[in-house]
Amino acid sequence: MQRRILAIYFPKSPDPASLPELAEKLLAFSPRLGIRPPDLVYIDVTASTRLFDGESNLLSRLSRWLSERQIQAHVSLADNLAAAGALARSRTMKPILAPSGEIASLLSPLSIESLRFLVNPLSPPTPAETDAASRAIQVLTLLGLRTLGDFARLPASTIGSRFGPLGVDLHRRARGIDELPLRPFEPSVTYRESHSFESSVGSLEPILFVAKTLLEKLERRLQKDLNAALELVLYIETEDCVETELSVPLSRPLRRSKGLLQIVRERLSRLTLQAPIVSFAVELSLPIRKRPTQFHLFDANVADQQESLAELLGRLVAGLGPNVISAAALRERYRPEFSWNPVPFQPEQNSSPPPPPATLPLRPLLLLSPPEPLEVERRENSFFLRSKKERYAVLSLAGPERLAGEWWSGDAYARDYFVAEAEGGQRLWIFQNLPDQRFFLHGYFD
Amino acid sequence: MQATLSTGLPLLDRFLDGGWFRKGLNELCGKEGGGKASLAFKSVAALTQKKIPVALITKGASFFPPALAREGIDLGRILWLRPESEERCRWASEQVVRSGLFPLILNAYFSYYNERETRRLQLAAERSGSTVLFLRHAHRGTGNFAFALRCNVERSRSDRLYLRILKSRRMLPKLEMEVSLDAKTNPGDLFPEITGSRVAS
Repeated sequence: MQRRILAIYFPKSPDPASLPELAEKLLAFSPRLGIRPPDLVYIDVTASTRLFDGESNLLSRLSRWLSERQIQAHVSLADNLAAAGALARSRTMKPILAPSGEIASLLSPLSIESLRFLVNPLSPPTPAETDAASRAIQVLTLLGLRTLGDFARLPASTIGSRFGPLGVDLHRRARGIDELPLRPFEPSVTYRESHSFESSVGSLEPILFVAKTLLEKLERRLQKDLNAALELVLYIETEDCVETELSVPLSRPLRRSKGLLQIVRERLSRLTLQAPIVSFAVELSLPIRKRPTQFHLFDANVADQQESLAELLGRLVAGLGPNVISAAALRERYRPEFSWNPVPFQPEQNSSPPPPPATLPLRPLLLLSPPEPLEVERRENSFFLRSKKERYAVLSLAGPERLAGEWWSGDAYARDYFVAEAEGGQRLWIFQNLPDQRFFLHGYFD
Repeated sequence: MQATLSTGLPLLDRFLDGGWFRKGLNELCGKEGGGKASLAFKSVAALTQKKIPVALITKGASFFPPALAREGIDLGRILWLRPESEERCRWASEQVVRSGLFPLILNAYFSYYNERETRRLQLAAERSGSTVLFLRHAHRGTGNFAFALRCNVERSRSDRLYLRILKSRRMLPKLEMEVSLDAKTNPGDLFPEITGSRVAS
């Protein structure tokens, strides 16, 4: 069966966010739908045309649907995405019905400038693609070509060497040939359940009782759609008409109501409200596809453990906040304070093997932030370092290791680091700040 | 026999009749710079090299990841929690221990905890089978009855630690031993050797 694509171009698309909303409503014409932000919707009507008694009726139904909603749009129906899109964007208010197999003849009279409409039918063209298309149009205009038909009549064998791979694609599309598949549009789904209390409540237990029921409903909906959530949002309305929104980002996608309830419990137990609660809602947002985990051949607990880890991390985020939970990764920076950064904890991923210890410089296990100023005392043959808390009698000093740099950032540093061995057996990492010659304690070799 | 978790130093394991107490609380205390973290991280390195995750709970960001990497620790397998208050540290520790997802939980530098908290943590560790290892600069607080093993660590020389058993539920005599963390071992050895001998105090 010949594929039939309906393209709807919105010349006055108010904002890019409105396109998915429109697309969601247009699902009434066919479930196979794709969007090209910011202003184009494609509908594959190959199978659904018969439900509308033919293509003409389908186009008139669509035109009526659009005019009832006062939406200005240009519509075309053709054999492929590129042709349908280009015809819709050629700015004819009347719907264009391109009979199957006659695409080239309809594209032919379009001006050579319309070549831009054929560049990337699925997504907005990249700057490189736009530049290449502009250059091609300029050259073709200089050669005296005025329409897409003129371009289509050029021998295909000469296009590649003159205009590159993009030129070859454009030439095929100008001849009505395009096999690009439709990229399906998935409407956003909101997983939200709410409850209004008959009489206001002031304690945690009744809210948790309701939260359990709501989360169980949400779990069933997520399970049905094979989805899991990356964010938990609680909405609480109190008697004094104050609405509180509490968001808990989840570091891993979660679905199980039991684990989510513990996160809700943790978040609510840290909340102080001025008045009793009259309504409560739970929303699981940022849904992502999560297919059932395949059973592990040797360890049946793997999937369960991953879910338990996700729940634990969710609880910890609810209790501690998201910024203090991580793994660590080394960074190529000489300044000790900046030589690592936090990264998400993902133990199941095969991390790159740690560098061999011998290649790493000697560093203390414990780093003080900020470094503690030290006073230096010299008495006869003895050498003492005095911090706010303690006085160290230094037995030996190894170093210096000079660390300096970042003059280019306006935050230059220059330090001479030493490993000091104190009388009590402690090993300290100290540095002398070269600009002012002051000593600081920066860490312990604990 | 009590279940144990290797310290990462085979000879120390032999001195401690197997290593750290599994399903229980262990404590290493001593001065800052005394070497207790170096000792504790030997078992962390051994576990992470076997791709087993370890939880590390510290108040604020105190450990220095480049030094951990130098100890041979796979940083990607460390869940590092850095709460700003001690109360949150203790709460986080209990959550992690209860989950049973981490065979070793390292609680570093909490200055204070009480009987009730340590007892709760002990019960959680018994249920989940986790080993909880505390690092403390100074000995403060109550609730020592909940600990299965308590040791004091001091540095005797730059590559040697002096370990003293303060308490052991395994009925070990109060021992003192010198432990070498020097990696100069025989070619076939997996871990650094311990030198010195077990001395009854």
